[in-house]
Amino acid sequence: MSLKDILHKKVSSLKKSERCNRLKEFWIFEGLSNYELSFVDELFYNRMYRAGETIYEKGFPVELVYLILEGEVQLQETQQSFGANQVLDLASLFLSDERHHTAVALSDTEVLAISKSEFDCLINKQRGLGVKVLRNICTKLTHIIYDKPC
Amino acid sequence: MLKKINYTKTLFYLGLLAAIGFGIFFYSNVFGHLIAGFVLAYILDPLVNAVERLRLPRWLAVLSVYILIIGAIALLVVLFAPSLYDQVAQVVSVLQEDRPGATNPLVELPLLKDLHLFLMDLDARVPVLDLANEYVKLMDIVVENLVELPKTIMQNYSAIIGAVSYVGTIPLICFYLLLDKVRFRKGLFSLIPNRYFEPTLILIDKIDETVGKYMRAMLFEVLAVALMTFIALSILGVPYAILIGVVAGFANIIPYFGPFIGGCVAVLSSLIAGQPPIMIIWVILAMILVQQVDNNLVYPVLVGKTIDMHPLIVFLTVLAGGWFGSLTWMLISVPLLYITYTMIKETYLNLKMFKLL
Repeated sequence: MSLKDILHKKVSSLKKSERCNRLKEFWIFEGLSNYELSFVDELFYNRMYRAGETIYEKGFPVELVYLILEGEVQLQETQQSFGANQVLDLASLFLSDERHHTAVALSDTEVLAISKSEFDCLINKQRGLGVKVLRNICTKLTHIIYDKPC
Repeated sequence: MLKKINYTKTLFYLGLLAAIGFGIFFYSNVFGHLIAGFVLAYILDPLVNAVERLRLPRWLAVLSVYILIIGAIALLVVLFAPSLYDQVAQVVSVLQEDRPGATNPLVELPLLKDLHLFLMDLDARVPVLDLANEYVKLMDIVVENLVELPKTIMQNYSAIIGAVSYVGTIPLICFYLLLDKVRFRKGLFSLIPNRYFEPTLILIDKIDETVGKYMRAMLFEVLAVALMTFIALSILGVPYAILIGVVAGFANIIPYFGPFIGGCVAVLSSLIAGQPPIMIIWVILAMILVQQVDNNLVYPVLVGKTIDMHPLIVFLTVLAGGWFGSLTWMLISVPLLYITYTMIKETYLNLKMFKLL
């Protein structure tokens, strides 16, 4: 292995840990180890949307859940806006349903898209990871129900 | 107003197009290898995923599956290869045997001998016919062709070596496809525009579910039918049971007609061995039993439902496969038709759901 290869490998592993740190900023992945996050990271697809571009439409089948890295997204029916570090259409990750809203990028937006079926496969492989994600969702729901800030 | 031509952009795309064209031309000879490697990776992927679930890294899971398969093949070779080789050698020696006084080894076989006697009797009554001689000539041609088979194989050794190298490279391609599955998948999906991204993902998952399940089930069915045929014929004492099992297993890929081919080979083998006619009935019953177990137990458990395809379509497809290529094409034509049909159906439904059609 040449010096160039070793350097390349080091840089890519650093980039990977950077990406894992970025994922930790999302409440849904709180408490996950770097080992677990590396599995999650493998599943994400990086997508870029221009301002005004539709991310998904009401009535369409659901397969993807979006984590916003940068930019702003608005649900057209409710006018609710989502920004960086927020999760778009999270309920779809666990419910087989159609989209209830149309989401449009308000500004140039970078998202991480995760497929429901691939996430299900990962949870089957890494049960501990699934429990942690479920715990985070329950905590979030508790905060919403009791109207606590999170 | 005329739009100004961006020469840099045009030149870049022309260069890109030329590079893609050259790439297709350069790699055209290895497309077959790549497809075969892809199919093998597709079949093995669930096994690798199951091993990976034991908290093993992907590379170790792939390696474990390879070791497992090589071990299984080695075991099968040790157990069955000597008998299979003996059985093939026996069939060839029966056909090559010089028997003084005997006109043709095939004519000496029970039913064929009866037919020969019947024709001789007919000739005696109507001398102009001379059917017995014509019959012997026909059998001579059949034997000549069968005896020439090993010679033909020897003469085409370069083609056989080519086929062996083809088979050798596929596991290597399959290894890398299994190892870097996620990377390849991500790379391909990154090329898809946003509008088509989610529909494509759903489509690939649906095709993966139906086609993958079908292909894995088919492979398992070939093994199951081969094993059941071997056991059933071994119990009856039919010779060449392993050889017939292998033929019946592969023939079973063709719906409706495949089991019939397997049954014919079994009956013919019993005839060649000179077994009593009652044995033919037992052999037919055994093959029907194998088919019943396969149709009512193995296939429903593996696939869930049978391929709803009209026998005429199956017949025409196999016939077209034969005209198009070799025996391989006859075997794969029906599965290929089913896979193509499933892919078109799923694509249509998906595009409709996303209002793209």
